[in-house]
Amino acid sequence: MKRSLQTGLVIWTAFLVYGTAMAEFKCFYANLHAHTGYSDGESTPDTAFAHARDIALIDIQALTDHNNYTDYSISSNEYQNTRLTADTFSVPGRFLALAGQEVGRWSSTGFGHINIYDAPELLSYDYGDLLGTYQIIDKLGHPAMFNHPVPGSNDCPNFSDLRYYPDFVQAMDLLEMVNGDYIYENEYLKALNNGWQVGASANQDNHDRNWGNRINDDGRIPLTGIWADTLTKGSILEALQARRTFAWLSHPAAGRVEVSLRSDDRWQGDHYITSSSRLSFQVRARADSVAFNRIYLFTDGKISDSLVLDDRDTVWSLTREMPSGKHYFFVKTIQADTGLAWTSPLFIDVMPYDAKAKVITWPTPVVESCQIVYPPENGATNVRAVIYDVAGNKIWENNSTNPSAALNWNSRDLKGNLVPNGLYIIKIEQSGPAQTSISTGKTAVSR
Amino acid sequence: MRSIILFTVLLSGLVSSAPGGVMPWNQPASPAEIALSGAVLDLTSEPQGLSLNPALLAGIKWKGISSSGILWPMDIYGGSVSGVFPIAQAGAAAGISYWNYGQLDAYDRVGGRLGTIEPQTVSVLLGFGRRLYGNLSGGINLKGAVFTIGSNKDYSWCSDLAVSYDFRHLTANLQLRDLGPRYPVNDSLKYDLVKTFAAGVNRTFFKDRLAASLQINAAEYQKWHPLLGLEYSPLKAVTVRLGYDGDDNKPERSKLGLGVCFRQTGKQDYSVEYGYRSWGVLGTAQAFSLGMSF
Repeated sequence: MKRSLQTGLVIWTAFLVYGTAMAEFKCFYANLHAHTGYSDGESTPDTAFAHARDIALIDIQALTDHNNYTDYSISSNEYQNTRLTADTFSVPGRFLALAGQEVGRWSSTGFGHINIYDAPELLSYDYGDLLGTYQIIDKLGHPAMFNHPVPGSNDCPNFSDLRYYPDFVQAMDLLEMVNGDYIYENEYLKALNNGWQVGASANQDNHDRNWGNRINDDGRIPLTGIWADTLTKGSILEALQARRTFAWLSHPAAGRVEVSLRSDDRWQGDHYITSSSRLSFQVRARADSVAFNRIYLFTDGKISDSLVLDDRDTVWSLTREMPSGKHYFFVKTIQADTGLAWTSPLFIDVMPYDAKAKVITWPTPVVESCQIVYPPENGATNVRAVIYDVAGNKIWENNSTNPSAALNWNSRDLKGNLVPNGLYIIKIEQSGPAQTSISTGKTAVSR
Repeated sequence: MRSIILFTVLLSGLVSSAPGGVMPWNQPASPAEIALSGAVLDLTSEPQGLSLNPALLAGIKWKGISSSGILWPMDIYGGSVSGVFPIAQAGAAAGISYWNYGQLDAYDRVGGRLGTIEPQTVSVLLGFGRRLYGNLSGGINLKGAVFTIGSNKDYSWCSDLAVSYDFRHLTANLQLRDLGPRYPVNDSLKYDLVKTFAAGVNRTFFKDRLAASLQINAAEYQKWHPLLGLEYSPLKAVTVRLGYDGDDNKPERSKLGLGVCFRQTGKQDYSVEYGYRSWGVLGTAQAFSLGMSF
C-alpha cells in the first residue's frame, strides 16, 4: 500500500461540475441472489418481492431458485410463475423484480453455482459440464454471475479454480465477491488475473424471509450497487452486462453508499483500447451518514494508490502512466464503521506506441485465442475487423458498434474450424458519420 | 493449335472438417502466377507453370530454369527457383520456394513484449509427367513444406494429380490439388487439407500471338469460381498478360492481374518477366523473374 508519487492527486471540492458529468446514470440497489420455497428457501415469489420492496426498501430483487436436478430444484411451472410475478411487481422507476435461476451443483462432480437472469425458461444443462454450461449461457446472452466462489474447496472445483476460457469471456458478467457473511476478494482478484472480465456484486443468498435486508453475523448487509439510466428491466440488465456495478457491505443504520470509478467518459466495467499511456481516473465516493476513511485504487490486482480521508462525499482524481498492455483498475472503499465497497474494474488496453504495425494481437503468436488491438479513432461508431490468410482469403469477420471495442479472435474460421498455423492479415475499419479509417496489421498462429 | 472446350465441374465425395487458410506450397512462385492467378493451368510454358500442371511435363523437349523474387503485401516477400527437364517420353520438374512473412512483435496474453518473431516457410516441389496413352498425359506433384515460427516447426506434404488430353486442336486439363495426409494444426491435432478441383482449356489465335485460357476452380467448402487468362505477343520478344480471378472470397485482392514477359530467343532462350496485382489497402503483389531454356 502506498501513495504513488507518480500520480497526481487532487481533491475536488467543486462537486457541482462533477455531479453534472455524473448525471447520466443513477445508482440503484439490488439483491441479486435469493431463494424461495420453490427451491430451498421459504415462502413464495410474491411474498419475497413484496418484502424486498416494502420492508427492505431496495430497488431491485432477483429470485434465483436452484435449477440443479435435485429434489429441491425449481420446476418449470414454478419458474414461469416467478417470471409472471416479477412482471407484476415491476414498476418502472420504483421497483424491479427479476426472475433468475441458480444453475450448477455444489459437489465434487459439479462446478459451482452460477446465477442467470431473465432467461425465458429453465435451462437444460449438464451440471458436470462447466464448458457446456458456459456455452449455453454465452448463446443465451443474458447476464450471468459466478456465485460464492469458495476457494480451495475439495467439495467443489470452484469453476475449475476460476480457470479462464477466452471463448466465454462474454458469457460471465459478475462475480459474487460478497455472499452473506463471506467476502471473496481474493477470488475476485484471481478471476480478474486469470483473464475474466467480471464486475463486482454483493448479495444475501437469502434462504429465510429476509429478502433484501438479511443482516450478517457482523451486523452488515450486502447489496449490489448498479449504475443505470432508469429503474427498468432493460436498463438494469444492460448495466449488469456492462458490469456497471459495485459490491457493497454496510451497516443498516449507515444509510446508502455510492461508489463510481471513471476514466474520462468511461465507467467501471468498460473494456476499451487507448493509444495514450497516460490514464486519468475519477473516483466518486458518497455516503449518507458515515465518512470514508480510506480509498484504494487497485491496479492489475495490487493496491497502487490510496487516499486517507474523513469525508462523506469526495472526488479523487488521479493520473497514472501505464506501460502498454492489458490493465484493470478498481476501487475499494472503507468507511469509519467498517463498511466496505468494491467497484467493478475498468479494463483498459494501452496500445504500444512503437509497435511495428498499427493492428496487433495479444498474444502473438496466437495459440488459442487473442485480442485484436488497434488505435481507436475519435468519432468512430462502428468497428469491423476482417482477417485474411496470406493468400487473401477471408477467414473471419466481426462487427461491433462499440467504438474502441476489444475484439477477440479464437483462431477459428467463419465455419468454426481451427485455422492452420501460419500468418494472417488483419484489417480494422473504424467508421463514423464523417469518415472511415482503415488500419492493418498481421499476426501469426502457432500452436 | 488448341481449341475451346467447356468442362462441367462436379466436386463431390470430399467430406471432412478442414480449416481455412492457405497452404504454403500454394503461394505464387512466379510473375505469371501473380498476373494470371491460377489460370496458368495450361497457359504458360514457364517452369513454374509447368510444375503447376505436371501433366504438361510430358510434352517438354527442352530444359529450363527460372528464378523469381516476389514482393507481397504487408511486407511479406518470397523467392523461388524452378527447373524442368525432359526424360524420354516424360518430363520432370523441381522447385523450391522461400517465404518470409516479415518481423512481428511478439506479445504475451496481457500485452507484455516478448521480442520479435519472423515466421518463414520453405516449400519444395517435385513433379513428373508422362504420356499415358495416345494423346492422354498424366502427371503427379509431390509438395512439402516446413513452416517455422520461433522454435516451432510444422512439417507437411501433399500431392497433386493431373491429366491433360490433346485431340487435334483441343487440349483439356483436369487437376486435383492438395491430396495428402492431414495438415498439422499442432502436434496432436491435424486437419484434412482443403482439396481443389481445377479444370481448364485454352486456345491460341492469330498464329499463336494470342492465347486464351478458361479455368474453373472448385475448392472444398467454397464456391467454385472462374479464372481467365490472356497472353498476347505483339512482338516475338514481348508478351503481355492479363488475368482475371473470380474468387469472391478474396475481397481485398483485385480480380485483375497484369504481367509482361521479354524474351530473347536463340541457341538458348532468355526471359525476364514481371507480374502485378493490387491488394487494395493491403498493398500490392509484384514479382520479377529471370529464366533460361536450352
